[in-house]
Amino acid sequence: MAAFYQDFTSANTNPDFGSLVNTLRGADATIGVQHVEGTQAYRLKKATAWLPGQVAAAQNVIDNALASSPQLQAQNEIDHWPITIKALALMLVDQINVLRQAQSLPPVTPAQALAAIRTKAGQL
Amino acid sequence: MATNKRISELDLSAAPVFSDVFPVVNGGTTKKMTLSQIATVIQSSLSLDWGQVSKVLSSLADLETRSAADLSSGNLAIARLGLGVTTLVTSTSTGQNDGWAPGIAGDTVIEWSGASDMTCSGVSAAAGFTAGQRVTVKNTGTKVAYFQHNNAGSTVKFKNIVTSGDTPIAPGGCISWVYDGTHFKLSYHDQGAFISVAYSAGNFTTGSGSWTVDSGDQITYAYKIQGSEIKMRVYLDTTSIGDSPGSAPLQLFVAIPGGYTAAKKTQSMSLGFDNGVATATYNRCGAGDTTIEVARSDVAPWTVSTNLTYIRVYFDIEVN
Repeated sequence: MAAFYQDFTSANTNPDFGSLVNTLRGADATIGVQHVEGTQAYRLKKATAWLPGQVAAAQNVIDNALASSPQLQAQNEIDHWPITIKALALMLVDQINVLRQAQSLPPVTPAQALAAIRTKAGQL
Repeated sequence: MATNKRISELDLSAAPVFSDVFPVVNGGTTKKMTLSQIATVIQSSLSLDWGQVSKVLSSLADLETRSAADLSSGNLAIARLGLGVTTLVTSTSTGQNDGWAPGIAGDTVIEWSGASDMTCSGVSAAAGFTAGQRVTVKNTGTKVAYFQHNNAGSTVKFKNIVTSGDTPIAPGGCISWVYDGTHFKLSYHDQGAFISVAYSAGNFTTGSGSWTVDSGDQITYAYKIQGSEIKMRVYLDTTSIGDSPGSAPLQLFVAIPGGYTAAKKTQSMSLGFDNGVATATYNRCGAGDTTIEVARSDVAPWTVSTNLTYIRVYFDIEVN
């Protein structure tokens, strides 16, 4: 696969990496980011040559990327929980669902449970 | 013109020179001698002691007053060594050098500053060496000098500590050998700056699937040899993982630079980013290996992704 690099400079020196990459890859699914936290220099890589419009769009995404925060980092961690932690959370959900069934309440799905945990992390 | 007077009547010479002529009585006959001849006779017949030597305008002015205690306390200025005992030369040799002859004479320090790299298999025997003689090379330039171990290219060889690859000195580095009667044996080495490895896709391999490291992904790939240890620093961004052929790889392999081979099984922790997610990883090698293994600490396969795998290696190992 070919590799094309483009350098950028931005005053946004500490973006949330996950959000930044997700937004950039909405335009091109091969975009990768080279950046050191606290610095203004960015280098973006993708599989096709950079067009002027793509450069401008990427610059805009970088400049307006969400700043890194403990809440966003926590959500990134939750999105990539290892099997051990997922098992712990979903086992508790199973037990809660037993109690909910006894109360004639609908069960909470695993996806709903994980989404709720993620939302809670963003609110702390 | 000379005048015919008694000696007592003559004026004193205002500025005598060695060519001035003096009368002398030799065997009952008056003869003439130059001042130079008279001086030679005096010097050969006198045994001068320390008190007769003028020290007033000499660098030895206060040596007479020194005591044995001065010698042991270090109060004396360092004496200059005799001509030929130590030598300082410069060299700008480049390329392959067999029988290097930079001007070694006695204990020699060579300040090397080639315009490009140099590889040296040994020194020229023509200089003639004495057991205990020391040769030191200091890199005062911007390129790298590599010294080969026990290489057949030269009659007088280097015996280095590292044998599986060359011993380099980068800018600021220094290397020193002592002649043992046959070879120059390494006695001291400090590489100086880290040496950056030129990009080559072949330095990055995997057992299954694929790992693509493009030239712009290689942010840092450098090493430093010190004694029998190699320090490796690898920083790769935006690399890609594929699952063909076979399956997604468990292990990624980074070549140990310089052709060195690992001496012992070693493992250390590191951190990478798998599909953009911070992931604990480990670096490992076994005895005889020419590569460093990089894997996830949970031994899960690397995630198939494009430009989202970031690898860090901070590994110090013993090499042969």
